[in-house]
Amino acid sequence: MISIDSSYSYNKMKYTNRCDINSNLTHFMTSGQKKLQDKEPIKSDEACAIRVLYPTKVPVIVERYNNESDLPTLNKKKFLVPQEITMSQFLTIIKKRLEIGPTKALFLLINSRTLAPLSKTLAEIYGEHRNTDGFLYITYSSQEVFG
Amino acid sequence: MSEEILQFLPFKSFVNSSFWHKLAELKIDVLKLSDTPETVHGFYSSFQAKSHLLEVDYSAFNSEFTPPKNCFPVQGTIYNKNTIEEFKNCNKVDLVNLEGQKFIEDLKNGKVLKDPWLLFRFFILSFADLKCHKYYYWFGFPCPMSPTFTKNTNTISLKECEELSEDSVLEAFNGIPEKSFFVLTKTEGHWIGKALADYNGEPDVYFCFCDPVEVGLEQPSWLLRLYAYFLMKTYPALHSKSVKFLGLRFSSTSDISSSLIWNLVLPGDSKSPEEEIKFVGWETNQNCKMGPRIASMADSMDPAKLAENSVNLNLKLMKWRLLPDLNLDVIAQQKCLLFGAGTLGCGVARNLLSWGFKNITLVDSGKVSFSNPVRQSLYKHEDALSGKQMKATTAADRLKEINPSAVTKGYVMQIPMPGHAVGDSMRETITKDLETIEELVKNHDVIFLLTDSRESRWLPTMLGAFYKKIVINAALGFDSYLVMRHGSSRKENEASGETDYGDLKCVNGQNLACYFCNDVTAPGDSMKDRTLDQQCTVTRPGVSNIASSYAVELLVALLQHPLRENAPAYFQLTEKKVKTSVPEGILGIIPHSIRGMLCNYENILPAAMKFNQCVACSEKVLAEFGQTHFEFLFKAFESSKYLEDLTGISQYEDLENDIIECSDSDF
Amino acid sequence: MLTMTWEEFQKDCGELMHLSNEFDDGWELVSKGSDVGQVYLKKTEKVRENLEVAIDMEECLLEEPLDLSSEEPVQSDELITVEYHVVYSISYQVPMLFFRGYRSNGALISLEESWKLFNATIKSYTRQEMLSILTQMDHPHLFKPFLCLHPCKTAEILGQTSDSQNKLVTFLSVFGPYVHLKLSAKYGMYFNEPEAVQNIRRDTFSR
Repeated sequence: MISIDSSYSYNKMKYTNRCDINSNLTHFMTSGQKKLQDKEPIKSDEACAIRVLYPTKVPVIVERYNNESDLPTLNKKKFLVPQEITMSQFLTIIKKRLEIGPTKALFLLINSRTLAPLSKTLAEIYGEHRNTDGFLYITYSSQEVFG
Repeated sequence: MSEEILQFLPFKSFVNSSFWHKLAELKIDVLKLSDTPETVHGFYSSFQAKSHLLEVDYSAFNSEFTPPKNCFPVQGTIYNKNTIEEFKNCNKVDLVNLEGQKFIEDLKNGKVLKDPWLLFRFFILSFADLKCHKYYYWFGFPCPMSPTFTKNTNTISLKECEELSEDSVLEAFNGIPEKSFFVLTKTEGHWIGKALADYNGEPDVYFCFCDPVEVGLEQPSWLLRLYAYFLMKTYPALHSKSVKFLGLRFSSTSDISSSLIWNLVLPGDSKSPEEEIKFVGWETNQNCKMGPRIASMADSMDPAKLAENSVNLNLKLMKWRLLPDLNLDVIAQQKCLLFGAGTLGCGVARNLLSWGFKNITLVDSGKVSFSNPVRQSLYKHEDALSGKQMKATTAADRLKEINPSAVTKGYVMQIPMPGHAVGDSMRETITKDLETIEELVKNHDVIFLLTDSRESRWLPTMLGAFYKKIVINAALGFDSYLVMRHGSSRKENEASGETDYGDLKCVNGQNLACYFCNDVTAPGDSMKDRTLDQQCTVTRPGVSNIASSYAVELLVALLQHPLRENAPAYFQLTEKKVKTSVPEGILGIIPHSIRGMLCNYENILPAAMKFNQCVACSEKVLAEFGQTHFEFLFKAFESSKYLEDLTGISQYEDLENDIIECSDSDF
Repeated sequence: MLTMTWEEFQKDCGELMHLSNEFDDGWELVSKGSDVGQVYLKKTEKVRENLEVAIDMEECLLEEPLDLSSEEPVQSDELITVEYHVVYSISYQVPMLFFRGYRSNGALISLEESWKLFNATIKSYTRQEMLSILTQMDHPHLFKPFLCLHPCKTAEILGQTSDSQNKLVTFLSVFGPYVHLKLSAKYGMYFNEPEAVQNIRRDTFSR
């Protein structure tokens, strides 16, 4: 687990040109995602800083779904995730952190509206779905099972 | 034009539905197994005649028969047989001759002369299949094979006749009691009506009859043929003479100007009295061939059929008024297999009936318990009382009670589940169950997953994918629901994953996810980890109704799509309004899944791609089942870890160290 | 809007029956009891229709080579009986027209066929409007499904007629033609309202 010196990153960001960050981002996305170029520039200073510091990781915010009562909440909700891992791997990690039984089923929603395709990599998902603030928002919720 | 042979219009039977109702009633209550011929009555009319009809209705069996207004009575006999064989084997030539002889007898003994309406008679050979509400019948209007009648002069209408005025004919008609056949004679310059019995052979008379033929047709009805035969037999003095017949035809305004006058040469009676007379008169069938007719009365007599037709009405009105392209046949033909007969199972089954689905099979292992009836709409308190009523069979019976034309069946059976090891003692039973389930999946078109656990959905999901069935899945949370269609495994064309569709993303039906595609855990014994209140389904009552309705509506929309389960689903990446609208079928959009919440009354319609390592629908799983069949299933039942290993989801490297976790206060 | 009370309906029925007896056109008054709505008018008409006659295979199998009579050429049209019932709708306070057709063998014509039958008589601009009220309901006294014109628009449509001495005759003159039911012009002449009825027939559904 790597901890970030937040003050450092914050300062560093101040010296960075936003345009550069965005071009950097585009470059990083060339592995298949052209969509990103159409996207609006990242508006949040925080995300810009992260992108510069960790060009191979994507900033993700993972939250419990509004109405979820069955699943526990995560201690931390901001993550920098290696861009090459798949959503299925990421889901495995989240489940581990939630410390729930192996048979408990849950699902991830991106931006509270899109179902996360587990075969895709985080990079692909990030390219398609990141918020204008530069973060990828993911919520988790129990899978409905009753009949 | 003269010397032309006159053609007659044969009578056509017209049976009012009430006749069959009355016959059915009589057969059951009075006649029973008796097949003695019964006297019946029919009627015809020359008032606004539409065709040359002989009608029968419920009054046909009355002992005192009164024909409807402006109609003339006809006497007949019904030969109602007890079996279709007797009906078929009855000698038709003998029967028409037998009936014809009655006519000849009445001629000889003077009955006809006294009551001329007896000139015309009919008979019915019938068989009433009361069970199927089917009536086989054959009308006969016996008439002797007579010499041909030739026309002496052209046929003229009453209007064109110089010596007769319409008023004088009407006056005579109104003044005479027996109106069906009578004579017009001239007495002291006046035309007066006379009964046939009073006719004394004077020349220059008009033989009148009420002709049940539409105004405008030049031929007379069969009545003239009988009339002429009667005159030939009764008045030898008329032989080889020219005889005038007036066929009265009344228009809607009781106008008789279109009545026709035929001038015939009455031939001599060439036959010696001893010679056998042959008769004709069997009616043709709808196809104008010699044969009986069949009246299928199920539509108005069979309560089940009545119900079925009424059930279909709403659907047909929908088609006729709003959706002309709606294909109701495809709906009626689908065979639906429902796994689970609880709240969702009951709800889905009822909605299927509403949409006109006919074939519904339910699989469930449970008994109806006291808590069920209030939520599970196919059960009653009484079912729980006995403690023995199984849900699957009870539900199947109820569906038939609701719609008798439904074909339903219930199978009481546990669905084998991954992570639920099968002991040796159970192996044989489970194998049998598996065979049944596999057979059921094969024999149905649509699989509904409506069970109350995740693991029980695994086997039907896998089998549905393997046998390329439409799979509709509905699952409930406390106040949320998920309704989805599983990705199709029916390969139609090379389909790519996601494609752009304007501002939307499009996922081909073959690439859509299944219920298990969005998690990385094989289903296991989830019940073990649950507390008691979780084990008993705790949901807001509304969610199952909503979800079961959506499930059926989604299926119907899918069936109407030309690609069926291969119909693509669309989603948009952002929440912003986009220009591209989702392509619609005749019933609107066809989403991949519907996730809804009661807490905010909102639905989202996510579409997602298949997970290539899915524990239920991925290539690897299906291939393994294809190769080792039940052996694979038992391995999966033994331990859910097996499925995780097979698909590789258990082999993810530990990536923990590459993840950076930040606090909110960071940055 | 033009509605009628049960008393008015009964009165109009009586008048219509009186005229019908005079004109001899076959209307009957059926009484099922003394309660409100339990009296209705009935009439049977024969209509020649070009229905597709499905050849019954079973009938074909039963054909016999009886060489006794000349066979007729197949006719493309068939004569059917249509039974009309004019019933009082208590909830809408208007008359309602129920009807159903039978073939010459007594069998009910199917819903599809009825629909086609009546669809064909409903021409041009009026078609959609009439289709929207053509439906099937259980006959309130016979408890059997009949086709009917739904009463939801009746009051509105009748409301466009000028004051009428017999609302029932007006009703039949307006709606009858759409379902093959032709009321003789003599009724209109008797109540002196042919103009009003003609206008309504022209205008009602053209909006």
